[in-house]
Amino acid sequence: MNRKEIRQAQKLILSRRLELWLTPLLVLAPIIFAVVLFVESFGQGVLQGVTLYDGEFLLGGIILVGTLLFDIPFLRTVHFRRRQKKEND
Amino acid sequence: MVRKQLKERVDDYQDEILERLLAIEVDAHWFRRVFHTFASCFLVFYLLPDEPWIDLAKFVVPVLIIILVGIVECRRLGGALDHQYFFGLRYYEHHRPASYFYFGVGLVVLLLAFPQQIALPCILCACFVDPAIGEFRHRLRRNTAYVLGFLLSASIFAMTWYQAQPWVVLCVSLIGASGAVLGERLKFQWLDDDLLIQLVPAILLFIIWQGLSLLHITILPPILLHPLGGV
Repeated sequence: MNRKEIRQAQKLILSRRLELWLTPLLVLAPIIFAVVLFVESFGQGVLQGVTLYDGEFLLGGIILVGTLLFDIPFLRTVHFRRRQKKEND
Repeated sequence: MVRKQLKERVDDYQDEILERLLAIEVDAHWFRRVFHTFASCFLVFYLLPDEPWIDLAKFVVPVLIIILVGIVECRRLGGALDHQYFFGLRYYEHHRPASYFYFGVGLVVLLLAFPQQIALPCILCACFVDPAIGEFRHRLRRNTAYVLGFLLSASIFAMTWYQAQPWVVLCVSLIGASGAVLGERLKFQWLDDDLLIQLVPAILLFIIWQGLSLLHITILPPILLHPLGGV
């Protein structure tokens, strides 16, 4: 394979790495949603004294804790193979 | 000459970036777990304001997404799409619809057909209890994993129904958690636990709610999530 073909193959492999493109979304979206619930609970509930919004706070807490419990081990498993470094060594 | 050198440097730089990206390893096992927790943000459905056109979109968009995902799954099962495009697929999912499709169907059915008070804890169970039971099973004995899963589900039901009467909270927690663990425990070739863990407790609670309504007993507490912008 020449250089151009190698690069095309690399791009093809990269386009198939769905998990790589999805990782930031999977990790950040629930955290952002939990923060939105906290903000809503604070803005509508605490500042305006409406106890109806306690549920938002509770749910934000469940989602944030549950998400972090799984996100942290997941992010720990995402690691970089030091191929070049090993090759050089 | 300068242009040629610049092009070579850009090519080298691109190769290095590609090399680094290709060197990233993602663990499929934890990827599947995080996919479950990600689904909790679909509860944003309940934060959308109650406007006529938004109400229409609330129905049309989830159904369209499921149809789209269904088409993708049909193409994958038909061989038009390579399995390698779908990271983390289990071997048995090569010959039947993948778990994420079942999860999506369950989610849409709960969001559209069940009241929020019933749908919300069932969705949370699918998001957090299902992966938790999976992790417990890896580390502990099978039965211990299900007992812990039951306790976790019961806590979620109790927390989301905290505004109901104490006897209702107790009954709903026990019945909902039993349904969730049963849904997770049942194994069928063409039905995934990601669907059953959502629908089994929801159907049980729906029947109880409707049955008690006939006796003029109201058990549903006020809703937990309100549309954005205030009530």
